[in-house]
Amino acid sequence: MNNRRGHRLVLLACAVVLTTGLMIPSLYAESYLGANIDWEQFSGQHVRMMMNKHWFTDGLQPQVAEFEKNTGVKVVFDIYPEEAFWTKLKVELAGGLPTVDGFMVGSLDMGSYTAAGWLESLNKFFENPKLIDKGWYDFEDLYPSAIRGGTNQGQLLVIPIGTEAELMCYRRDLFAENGITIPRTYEELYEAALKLKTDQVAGYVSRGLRGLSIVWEWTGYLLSHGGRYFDASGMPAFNSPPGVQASDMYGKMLRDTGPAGVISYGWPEVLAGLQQGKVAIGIEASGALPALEAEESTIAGKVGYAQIPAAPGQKVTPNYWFWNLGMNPRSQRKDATFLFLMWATSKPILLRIARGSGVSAARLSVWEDPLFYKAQNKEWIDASVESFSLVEAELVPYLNPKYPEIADVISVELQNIVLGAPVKKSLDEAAKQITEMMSR
Amino acid sequence: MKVYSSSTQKRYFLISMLAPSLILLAFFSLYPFVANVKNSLMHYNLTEPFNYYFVGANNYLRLLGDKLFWQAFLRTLYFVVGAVSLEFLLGLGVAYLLKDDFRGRNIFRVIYILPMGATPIAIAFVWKIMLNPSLGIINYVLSLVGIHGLDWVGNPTSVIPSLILVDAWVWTPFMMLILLAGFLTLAKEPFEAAEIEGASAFQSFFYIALPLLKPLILVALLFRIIDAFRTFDIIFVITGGGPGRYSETLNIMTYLQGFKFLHISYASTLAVLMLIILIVICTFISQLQGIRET
Amino acid sequence: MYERSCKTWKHLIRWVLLLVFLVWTVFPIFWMLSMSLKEKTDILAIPPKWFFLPVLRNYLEVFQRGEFLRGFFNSAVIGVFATALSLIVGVPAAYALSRFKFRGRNNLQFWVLTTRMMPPVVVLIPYFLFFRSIGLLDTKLAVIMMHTIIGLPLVIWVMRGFFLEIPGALEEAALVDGCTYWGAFIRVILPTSLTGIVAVGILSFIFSWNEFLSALVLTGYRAKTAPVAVYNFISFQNIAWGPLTAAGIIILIPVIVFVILVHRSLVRGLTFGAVKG
Repeated sequence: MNNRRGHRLVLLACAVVLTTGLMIPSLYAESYLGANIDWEQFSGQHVRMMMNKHWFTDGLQPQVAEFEKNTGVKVVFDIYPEEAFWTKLKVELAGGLPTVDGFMVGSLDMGSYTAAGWLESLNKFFENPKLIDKGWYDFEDLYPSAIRGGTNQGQLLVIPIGTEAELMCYRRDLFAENGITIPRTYEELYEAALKLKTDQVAGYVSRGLRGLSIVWEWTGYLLSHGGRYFDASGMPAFNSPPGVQASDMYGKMLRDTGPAGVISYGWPEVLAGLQQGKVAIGIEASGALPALEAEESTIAGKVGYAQIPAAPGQKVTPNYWFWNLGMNPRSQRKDATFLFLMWATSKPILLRIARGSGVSAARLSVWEDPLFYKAQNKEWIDASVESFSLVEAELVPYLNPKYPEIADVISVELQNIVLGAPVKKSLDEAAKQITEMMSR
Repeated sequence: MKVYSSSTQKRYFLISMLAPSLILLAFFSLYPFVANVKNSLMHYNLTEPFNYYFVGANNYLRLLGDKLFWQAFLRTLYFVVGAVSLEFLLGLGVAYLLKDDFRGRNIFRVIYILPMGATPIAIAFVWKIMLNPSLGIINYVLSLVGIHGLDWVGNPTSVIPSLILVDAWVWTPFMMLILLAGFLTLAKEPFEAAEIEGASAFQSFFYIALPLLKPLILVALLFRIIDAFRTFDIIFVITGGGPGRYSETLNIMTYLQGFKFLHISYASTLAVLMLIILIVICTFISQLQGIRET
Repeated sequence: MYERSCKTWKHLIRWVLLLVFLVWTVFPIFWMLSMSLKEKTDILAIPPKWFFLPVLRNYLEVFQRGEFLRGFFNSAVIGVFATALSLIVGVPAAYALSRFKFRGRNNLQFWVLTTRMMPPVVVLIPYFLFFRSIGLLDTKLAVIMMHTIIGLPLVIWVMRGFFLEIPGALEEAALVDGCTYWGAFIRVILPTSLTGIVAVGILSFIFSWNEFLSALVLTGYRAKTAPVAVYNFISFQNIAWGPLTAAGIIILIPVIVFVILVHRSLVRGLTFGAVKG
């Protein structure tokens, strides 16, 4: 760690030397102009980016003017929140036109976008010294698991910007009052949640909403019970005994200890329930949890963060999510687009965004940055970093083009399980439908 | 209806009145329609760009043999019949109450239209949080009077009725507005005559007002049926089609196939089937009431 | 004596029913309003704070986003033009369909209805490609065209219903007096059916004002409409309940103003109805 920091000091010195005469506010100590490329080579072009309404976008937007000034490239930012974003982006990509140059891609869509041919391979751009100063960019600093998640058959299709994994949060005050320690297995979690449950406060919450919502958090249960989505031959395996155990547990947790109506909870309701102090324990995406320390939270300062539990003898394996930037293969301004993608994912820019908003950027160095560390909840940072290291990217079939449909089928049966349907039978039904779907 | 004497002048008049609308509609609706029918006859999945070929009626056969399709169809009917009849009864009742001259009627007429004016996106989120059993106001208010509220949209049996209530909240004003305007346009004489002959308000409502309003009632019903069939925002925001598939209507299914799973051919097939279903329903209703004969 | 007490009773019942319906109608809007005026920590609090010091912070936040104001303006322009266009084009067609018998009329008017039946989600891609090919993506004109198409069947069918209510003797008299067909239509029919035109105008405007999907797909940064801009208060990590509800309230105001403005003619339509007999 110290070594890294020292390394960065040297880099910093180089940057300062290279950009003599350029005064930079001390907060933004590193300048991207230090890169040994011609930033102005595409002056006069414009790039249209389709972005999800997201902390990264919020943080990047104010920086864009500076990019435009230094490169002469005009960037049009089209921003939409999740559902609207996906709908609009898919219409434009399916139209097969160069209307959009670059866009955000979430893990869920990696497989289907790749199969649809909507993601330009970025390898050749990364090899082009006119476009990137590799030493300055420090590719190895990007989260390795995220790079693996964005690579298909040796082709890097996206550049990661954000990394998140499942994390458990709990009310330290309620734990202390009830003499409860951090649960390490799901049985312990269940007992703790039951014990903490009162008329006013639910024991536990995670997403119950149909679609990826419920499946995303169930995946951590599945993997940490030693279950898998598919077996080695590619057949559904989530209905095997560990999968049944995990699903049974997920159903029990929501049914017995969750707040009323949890089945329609997406992340907004999960966070709202926690913020309002109506739940004692929650499992959510690490990147969403800073909301618990925000102004609108009534429980700020009372929250502890820890890894999700694992079944006895199993390894903790949280589910994950990466947000990435990708390029439209039909773009007519690929080089300029790459210049923007490269700039937006570079160390100085991601660091600025992270420091400004306390977000989970996909660069190792961000998480070691002292200013970032100082501004955020330390327990959250440490737990987040640990959870990223526990991620096993290959175990979640995000790269399967049919994953969105697979997830939907599973989510339907999981909801039935939460409502009390027999676990094994429900999972078998999902497995049957998925087998059928994959043979089509 | 009275028919004018035939003449060239009349023909030109007719054409000049009809042509702009018909040309606009044809121009804009034929292309998507043809594209959809074509896609429904192909194997067309965006995730398999090199696998695009003609499959004939296969998509139709597959969907018609799929129990999920029929379940969604029945669910959609349930939702549409529930929502539209509730909206019609409430709308007719309120329009009737508001048709007379009395102080304050203008305020009511304006306020009652508001739900329809509220942006569906915003209002769907507000309803979602209001219906939430632990974070919502509805069950809290019920608890004050000692009623233990339901998990409105989390329960397979109450999810569709709850969505019907929300839909009725939004769209009753549509019925009310059309029917109120209808009441206000009615000529006064038949009612005055009836009153002189001693008819009760009840009688003149059922035997004079309703028959005269029939064409408008049918229009309002047809449009609400068509739009309720395609309800999206309210259902998608509040339940996403869940719990399980208990609120997955045909339109939600179409959206999932097209935009989540990128199965353009299934989405197109579903769309064509929905079109056929709606045509059958609307033909039936308009034949039943003789509207096409007027 | 009996008559008077009967009238009073009728009045009382009417008021009770109207007030009950008022509570049902207003409560969600009231709730949205109260959410928009609360501090962040109080918005979702249960038990709710019924009495609180209203804050305007959420409204300021909405107005600080230039995007929302521009969307507001775009929506107003689009709503007015789409409504006007669909009335100008649709009302004459409705009249022709209600007054003239010709071959294929029933099929024609039924076909008009079917143009509204396609689920919007499946026509998005074709429309996107179409408007792109004529170079109208991200323009208000494209959305105006779309909303006109969406509104036309409604205008035609509802107006047709109104014209059927009006006795044919009216324009016959005008024709006998030497009016042309167009003259009779404009001078006699339009004034008589003003109530209907107003009602259907309100409906078209509201449909356009709230339409989301095609506005989302056909616009980008420049021509973004208000409902699309409202959606942008839902972001990753949280739904910005305060600004979202504030925007929801702001977006209602033009509808209220529009309804109040045209409502006058609704009343005037009433007097016409009384006179015409």
